[in-house]
Amino acid sequence: MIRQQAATAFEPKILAFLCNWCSYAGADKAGVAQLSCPPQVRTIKVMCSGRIDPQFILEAYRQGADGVVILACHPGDCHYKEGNVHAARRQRILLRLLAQFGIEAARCRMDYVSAGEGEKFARVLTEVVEAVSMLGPLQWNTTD
Amino acid sequence: MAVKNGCNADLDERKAIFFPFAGALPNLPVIDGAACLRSQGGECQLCREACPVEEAVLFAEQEQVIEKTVGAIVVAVGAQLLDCATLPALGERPGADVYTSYAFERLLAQSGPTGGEVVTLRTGKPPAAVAILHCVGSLEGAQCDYCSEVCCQNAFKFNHLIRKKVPGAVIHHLYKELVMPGKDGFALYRAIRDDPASHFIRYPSLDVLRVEEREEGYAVAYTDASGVAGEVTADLVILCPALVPTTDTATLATLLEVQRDRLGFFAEQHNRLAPVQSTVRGIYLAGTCQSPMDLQKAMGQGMAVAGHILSELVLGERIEIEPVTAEVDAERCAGCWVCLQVCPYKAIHRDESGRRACVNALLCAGCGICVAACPAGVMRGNHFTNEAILAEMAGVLA
Ligand SMILES: Cc1cc2nc3c(=O)[nH]c(=O)nc-3n(C[C@H](O)[C@H](O)[C@H](O)COP(=O)(O)OP(=O)(O)OC[C@H]3O[C@@H](n4cnc5c(N)ncnc54)[C@H](O)[C@@H]3O)c2cc1C
Ligand code: SF4
Ligand code: SF4
Ligand code: FES
Repeated sequence: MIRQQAATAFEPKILAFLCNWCSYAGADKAGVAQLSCPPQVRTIKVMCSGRIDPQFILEAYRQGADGVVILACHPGDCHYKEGNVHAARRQRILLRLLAQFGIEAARCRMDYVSAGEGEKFARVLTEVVEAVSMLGPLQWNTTD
Repeated sequence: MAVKNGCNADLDERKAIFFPFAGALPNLPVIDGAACLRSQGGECQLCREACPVEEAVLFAEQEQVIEKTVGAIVVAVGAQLLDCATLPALGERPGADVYTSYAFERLLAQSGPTGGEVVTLRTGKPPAAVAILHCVGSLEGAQCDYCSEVCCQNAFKFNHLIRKKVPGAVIHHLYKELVMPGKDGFALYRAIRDDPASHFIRYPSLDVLRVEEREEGYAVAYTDASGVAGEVTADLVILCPALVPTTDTATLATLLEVQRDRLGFFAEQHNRLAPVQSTVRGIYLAGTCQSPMDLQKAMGQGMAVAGHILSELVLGERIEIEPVTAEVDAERCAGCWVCLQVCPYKAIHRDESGRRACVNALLCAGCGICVAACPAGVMRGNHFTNEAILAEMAGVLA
């Protein structure tokens, strides 16, 4: 009973990496449209999703993040041509590594949000918060 | 000495000394080395004898390679028409009166083989019926999976001029799609559409077209888009082949180290934000070498490029570099060249020692892809350093 109460009260910490050219502007768009965005998400701006070192994501978990989101320009739309391709490739490899530590894929989501997609920005973040809330707090599992 | 005149699509002949085309700049005759009898060991100098100005015809002039250091390069090599010679739709051998759009353009020209008169080569008489095949090669297959943009405009212009020169002619348009955008496009199309002498047939793919030579002219057999088979006869057939990258585009792109797109055209840096910039800073693209487009767009691109260059390369002024660039900690660089491979802008090279990477800040766009890729962690992303990002993370996650 007590455990259940703790679970429903769980407020995940989500870290979102936003690309300067798309999702960062998408966040602005969501703000201007007064869409409600989940307050559990904290954002970090980078020039391109290709700048995201997988180590940042591991470090985020280490510092208490329960989930991480990477929001990049749509395929073919990266301001630097192919940064999002590198980001997607790195994220896929990282997911395999995370699985070995028992970290669910939902805790490391990558998606594409353009500068005009304020609604999608709010939706993706809401989905991540919901998915991570269901999973509960991140627990490192180093036994297997 | 006469040889085939390439400028007029080989429809007539020219001399070994010739003006390249009407209005060429500089407007000077040139000697075609391959055709000149002197290059074959002859002693001919008829052209020099005919010239009233002494020493104007120079036999000793040679091709020269000139090396220059420049601050910018503009690629404007255009596109070419898809080679139709091997298309199965045209049968074994395209007949004399089957023209590409380029060849027909020459037939219409004052300086063309007939002085602008529209006549068939077979009979020397004006055609009673003309078939214009739009979209030849375009909108089909992986390589030409696009609209060539100029063909419909071109085809309707032909229609308009043929009807002016040969008022009785009937014109059949066989097309996959009709594309006439912009403020002037529809007016031309409407005038042709409303003319009772124009006929329109939509065909789904080149596979269902056959151009056959007949005793009295040509027959174009088709199965239209709704599956109904039919045939039109014509004295003259005009093909509007797809605009495709020129044969030496690949070589040129390798030489300049710029990227090409999936279709083989020179790739722009960004299709909306940087359409006239190549993937390398300082190398610009103008016209159909980047994508099929009409003259107006090609001119616009040329002017945009000129504007970019003039505003960036001002004599006596320094070029401003964005502060967000990557920088190698040369002392600790392992020389693995991972960064070299991932940089989309060719901004990274080997330094003089050949053992360490070095970023050209002029070319670097500051994306940070190399920073994330460097396995030694010695590529620094200025203004977005690892330290800065980690500190920011610590702040927001605290
Ligand atoms: C048959 C036809 C009809 C058309 N009709 C119309 C029309 O009615 N209206 C319209 O708006 N547009 C029309 N167009 C389109 C128009 O021709 C193009 O938009 C325009 O020519 C593009 O200009 P450009 O400078 O990019 O290329 P181009 O005009 O093709 O110029 C490229 C130049 O680069 C040179 N070159 C190529 N390779 C090299 C190299 N390696 N080194 C140095 N030089 C090189 C070529 O010799 C050429 O002179 C038509 C096109 C065709 C094919
Ligand atoms: S930051 Fe981007 S553009 Fe600059 S050197 Fe690195 S990969 Fe190349
Ligand atoms: S990736 Fe890093 S270590 Fe490797 S060459 Fe580039 S800067 Fe040096
Ligand atoms: S610039 Fe947005 S992902 Fe590269």
